[in-house]
Amino acid sequence: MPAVNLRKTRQRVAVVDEQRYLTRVDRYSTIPAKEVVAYASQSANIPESSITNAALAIRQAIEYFVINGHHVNLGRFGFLGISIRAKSCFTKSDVSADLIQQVKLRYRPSTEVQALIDSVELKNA
Amino acid sequence: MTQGNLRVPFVLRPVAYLGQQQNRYVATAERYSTIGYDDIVAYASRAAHVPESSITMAMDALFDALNYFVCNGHGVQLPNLGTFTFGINAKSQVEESAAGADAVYRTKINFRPVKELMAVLANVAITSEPLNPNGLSENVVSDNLKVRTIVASGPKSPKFFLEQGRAYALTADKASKFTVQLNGPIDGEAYMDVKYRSNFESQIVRLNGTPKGSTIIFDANDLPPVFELEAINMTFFSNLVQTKYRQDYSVDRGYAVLLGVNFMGQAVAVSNYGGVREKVTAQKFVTNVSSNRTLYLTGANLVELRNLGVSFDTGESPVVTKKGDTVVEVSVPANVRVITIKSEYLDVTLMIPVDEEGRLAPHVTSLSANGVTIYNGESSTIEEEKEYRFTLGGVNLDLIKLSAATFAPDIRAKGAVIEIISQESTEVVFDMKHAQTGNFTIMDNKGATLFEVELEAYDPSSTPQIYSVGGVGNGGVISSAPSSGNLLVLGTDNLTPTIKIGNWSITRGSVMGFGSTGHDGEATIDIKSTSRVNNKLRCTVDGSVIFEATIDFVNA
Repeated sequence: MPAVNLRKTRQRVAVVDEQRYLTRVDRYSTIPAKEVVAYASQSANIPESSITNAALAIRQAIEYFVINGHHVNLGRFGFLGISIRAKSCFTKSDVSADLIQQVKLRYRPSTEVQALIDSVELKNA
Repeated sequence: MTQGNLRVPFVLRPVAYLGQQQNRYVATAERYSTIGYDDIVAYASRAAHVPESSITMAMDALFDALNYFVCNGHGVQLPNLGTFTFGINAKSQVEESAAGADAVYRTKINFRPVKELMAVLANVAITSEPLNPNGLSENVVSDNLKVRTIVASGPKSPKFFLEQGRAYALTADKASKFTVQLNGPIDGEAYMDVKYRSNFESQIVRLNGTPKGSTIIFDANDLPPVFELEAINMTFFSNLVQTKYRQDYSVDRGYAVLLGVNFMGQAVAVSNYGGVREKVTAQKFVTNVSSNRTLYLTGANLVELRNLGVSFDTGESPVVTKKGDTVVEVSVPANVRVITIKSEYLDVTLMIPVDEEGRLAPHVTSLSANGVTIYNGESSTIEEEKEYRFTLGGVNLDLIKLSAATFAPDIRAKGAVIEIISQESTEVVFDMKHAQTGNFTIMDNKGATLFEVELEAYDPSSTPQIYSVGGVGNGGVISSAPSSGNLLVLGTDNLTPTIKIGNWSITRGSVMGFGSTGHDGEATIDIKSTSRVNNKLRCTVDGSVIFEATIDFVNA
């Protein structure tokens, strides 16, 4: 069963203005793309170049659709779409694109991914 | 770098602000559709010249890597996509012993896109406009612009329309007309947005994609734009056709038809008809059929039409009277006439609007099917099909092989043009209630006139009557005019027709019919019924039934 270690840190929490213990994920490392590709290539017996090219092609497809307002289904991974952070206003005359502060990419995991995450055992360090 | 277009409407809605409820305009990212995984893979495959199978295998392999690493506490960089990390939400604790796994109330996965992907977001053109609480545009655009027409003939690359900008703003004054026409070949990912506004109200038609070789026409011909049609969203991908009314809408008087052909060669139509004054509240109705060959869809505003299923949005709660593998029938409101065309390759239902008084609103509808467009008499040839030409009220009506068509338009509107393309001839029904003076001509596919009938005006307030009837054909002559009654003309073979009146009778308020035949035969049409409702007409040649028709009379 997959497991993730947690660590505790003590720091000031601004909302209550006192020192409290926070729980965080103890991240071991970030596997670079090259190693991920090598792992995927080895496990699935696919050339590394194919994996890299496929990922690039998928990214291009994401770019193509997402920036035009579509949500994209990435299969087992989940969904990608755009979300907006913007100021609101009182009158319609104030409405303009200038109110939009940020265009963000929003990821929503698939049920499969969510189930995997939910199945992870959490261990206290 | 790819230039994106994003529409971000600001919707007026109550929000909590400094402890108070206030109406403010809040930005909402408009989601046009969700692109399915298969479509993404197909697009990526074509764009990058990578086999779909390779993409699928690679994505599965990457998913396995994600599963392995992320679930064991590592962050994972997927090449060209971004980094996935495991995350939690946990409550802060005063005591150290309470912190840890017990404090975690949610596990999640975080995704941080690669910088190239984020850079693309910075290159998105944003269009904003205020919307009222109903989601309708509040913009009022000057009406001093005349009719605008967009005819976009694109290359195969779907980027054509994206690069041209997906938002086209059209303004038009009263009684104006515009046409959006997408001519193929387009590989199913063409995009076009059209906005049509007047000083009365707004109308937005959005077409997200059109299938290969098809034409989509939106036409509000000769009507004061006293109607609102909000956000039709059409998406064509692969063999999937979707149309959606995103918002409620109100119709005072007006008519719109969107027609296209999906990848399976089936024609699809979305209609919005006039004669409804009250606000229509969306009530989604969905039904599915496994292999529909015939669709009877009326009294409903079609919002979604798929190859093998139909759903539509209506305030009239249509009733499915029959549902099965082959037929879906829906009740027909009294103020709507319907054209149904069915064949092996074509399923179309076209709604004809009438106003409160039962009169047909002036309009033009056009239909293309199987990649062939017929418009304003420009006929195209379909293999093994017949061609007939009708003239109604002095206006051409092109009919290429009328296929099992049942249509009962009130032929009142001057200038009405109905063009139909289909496969096999079987049935035609006319409601001649509002017929006015005009010629009715049936021609063969070589342009030769088979026969003609003159139709004279009558007083709609009295019993429908035809004062004179004349038929001219290849040897066929109608020598007598009926004393009174309505008229029905139909049914020919396109091979050297001979027209003779084999047997006819007519009484007041009834119908006279006549037909033609093939090479040597003689057509006989017997009109037996004198009822004004649902008269039956049968055309036979040498004892074989060529067609049967129903004449639906309506008392004036």
